Amino acid sequence: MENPIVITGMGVVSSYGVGNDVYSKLYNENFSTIKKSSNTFNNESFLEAPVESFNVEEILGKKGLRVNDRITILLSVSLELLYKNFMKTSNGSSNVYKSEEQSILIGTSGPIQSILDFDLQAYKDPLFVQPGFFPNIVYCSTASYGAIRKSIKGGCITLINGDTSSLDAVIMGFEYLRNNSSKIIICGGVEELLNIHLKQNDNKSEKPLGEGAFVFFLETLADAKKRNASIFGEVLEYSTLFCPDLQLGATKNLSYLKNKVGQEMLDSVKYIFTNKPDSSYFKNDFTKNVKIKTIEDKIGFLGPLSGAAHLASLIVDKEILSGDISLILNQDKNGNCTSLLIKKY
Amino acid sequence: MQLNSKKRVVITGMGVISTFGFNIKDFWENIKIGKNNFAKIKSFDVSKFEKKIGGEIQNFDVEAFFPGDNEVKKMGRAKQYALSSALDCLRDANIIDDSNRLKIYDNFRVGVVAGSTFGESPTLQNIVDNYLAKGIKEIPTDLYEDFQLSSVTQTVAAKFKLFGCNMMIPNACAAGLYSIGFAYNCLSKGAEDAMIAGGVDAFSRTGLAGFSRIGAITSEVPRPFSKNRSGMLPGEGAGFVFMETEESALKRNAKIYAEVVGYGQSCDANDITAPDCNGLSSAIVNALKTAHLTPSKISYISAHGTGTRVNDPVEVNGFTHVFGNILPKIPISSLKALTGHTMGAASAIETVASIMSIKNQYIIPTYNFVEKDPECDIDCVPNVGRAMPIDFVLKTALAFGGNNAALILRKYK
Repeated sequence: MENPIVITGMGVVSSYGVGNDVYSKLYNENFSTIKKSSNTFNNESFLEAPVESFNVEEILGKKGLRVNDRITILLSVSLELLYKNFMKTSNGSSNVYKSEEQSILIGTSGPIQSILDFDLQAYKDPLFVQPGFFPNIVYCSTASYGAIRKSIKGGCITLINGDTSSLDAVIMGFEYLRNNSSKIIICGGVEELLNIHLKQNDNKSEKPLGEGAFVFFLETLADAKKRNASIFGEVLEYSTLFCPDLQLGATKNLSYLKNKVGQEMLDSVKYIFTNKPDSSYFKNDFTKNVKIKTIEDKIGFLGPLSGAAHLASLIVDKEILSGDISLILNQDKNGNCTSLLIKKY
Repeated sequence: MQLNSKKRVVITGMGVISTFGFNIKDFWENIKIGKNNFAKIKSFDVSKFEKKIGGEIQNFDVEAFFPGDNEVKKMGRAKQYALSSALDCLRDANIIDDSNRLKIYDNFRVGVVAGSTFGESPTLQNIVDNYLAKGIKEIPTDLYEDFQLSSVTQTVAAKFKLFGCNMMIPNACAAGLYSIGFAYNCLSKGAEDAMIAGGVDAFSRTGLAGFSRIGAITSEVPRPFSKNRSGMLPGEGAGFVFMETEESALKRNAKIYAEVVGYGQSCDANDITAPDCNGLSSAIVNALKTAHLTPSKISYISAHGTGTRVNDPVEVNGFTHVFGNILPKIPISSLKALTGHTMGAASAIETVASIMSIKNQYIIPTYNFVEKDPECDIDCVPNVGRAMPIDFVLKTALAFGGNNAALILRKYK
């Protein structure tokens, strides 16, 4: 590509803790945060991987926290870390890029807890719902609060595409840069555990659920070099489609990806990060030496957030060396299928 | 944000589910007449609510669209609206056969993108009602599946086997326009051959309670741009358009309603609820840039026009920033006086109306208008429709979170 698109920053809040260093350390130690929940469901305890409580005010200050829900706080903290550590400015915002040159794209399943809480109140007494909490029940509120906090004016997009959501946010950001629609993209995802555990109710396979926020900077290599940014990897190409037959979906997706980058590139893939690690149907498209990786056994089943978590894992994974090509392949059980090729720097 | 255009993109099909009709023909005829369709809300108990009126669809039967399909009958109302509107749209585009299967395109090259504000909120109410009545253990697990917002676009894709990209963009009350803009971007660069794009929302207890508490709902009828306006009324519905490249449309000899020539979006990054005129003008400027148009080329503006005290002057200020002295010469109207605010569906339904305006060279007026507001000094086409030459239409949408979008449609030549 004439002007490669590169990853130049990462902000992570996960069950490993707050920050990239702790994520890198515990991921590479293969540490698992999955544990018995302090709550019970149907009088039975269950497994989950929560983000443990931390001092939010220390990171975000007091402003806005009174009305922010948990999912917004998780995203806001990850954004704060991203800008603070990778924009290299004193005020935590960008003075390299104008507000209009920045766009944010976030994949999530939405502020479900806030929606449930608000509707419970509306059912009991609609005259006494808290107006300050009303914006929190709009699905795009989390990303919008993030845009306000960081003064991002180019565009603010929320994506809710099941388990490919956060990966779709990355590929859409990649396209924005390719189209010169923005100069820098903030993309990734956020997910929260619910108090009343509807997800657990729905989760027939009883996978332990996790939560967190993973966000990234994407920009062109030329712009990244201009501001002397850290470069973690290059986004090479992607493919996305929908097919209820997951095997056919993955096969088609990879054939479209091959059409874009060629067989030689796919043959060079060394690692595949996926939320379907037990599915063997996509492995035939790669060489026998390809290694399958996932994060679910470490920080829980992240659903819409898993694509962004895979990207963060790929970046910190010490086994993966500079120049190695990795593929992230995520599928939603209903049919969304997205793949992303990354070259590590 | 500016999106680069490469291939020409045209609209060749439309579908709508609204209090004004369940197909394009009825919808257009009824909004021309402009009868007041607001009524007492029946889909949930409003006895404890201060405001009890809305633009609720009260005679919809999904059986008319999908006879004998028990699976569709079990779905939440948002999905029923989306599926029915999409079916009407695909039929209008003459793209599916009698079995509702694509008859022309490769399934993997036709995508689905939709927007919503509250999604499958009736199902949420069902979950909460079950939770309070019987406890969490008794909540049917399929309700949670039905509640997932992603299931709206997934269901449309699965029903019609549209296996291209699949995106749910829930950018609140501008969501429909974000979706159409996204489809325009995909098609203009050749990422897909065709896409169905639109928006949907079902009447919601949370929406009614929330909008009431922030003082956005009127006690009478919405009067966009009128001095005595006192708020909006919530509504519901769905609108979809079938979009394809001009090349494909000509090849299959499709009827072409209009061309999409420009799209822009922006974020105020200012306040979670209050709109900002600078954000709107930025989105419009971006749309004009992609369309390579000067403001003077716009024949008509289909406004967001909610009829709230706050929105309308901000929107007019946004227009003034872009159009300056020529603004009074451009007719601007709002459909929300009739439909109410259909949330994520609004800008998609209003895009459908705008396309019909181009087709029929006729502007639907701003109904319920009483008196000019000095803060909204525009030609809002008060109460009486207008036949006039319409070449380029600007459709705008503003949303919670400061999300703005602007789309430019052109009479196809």
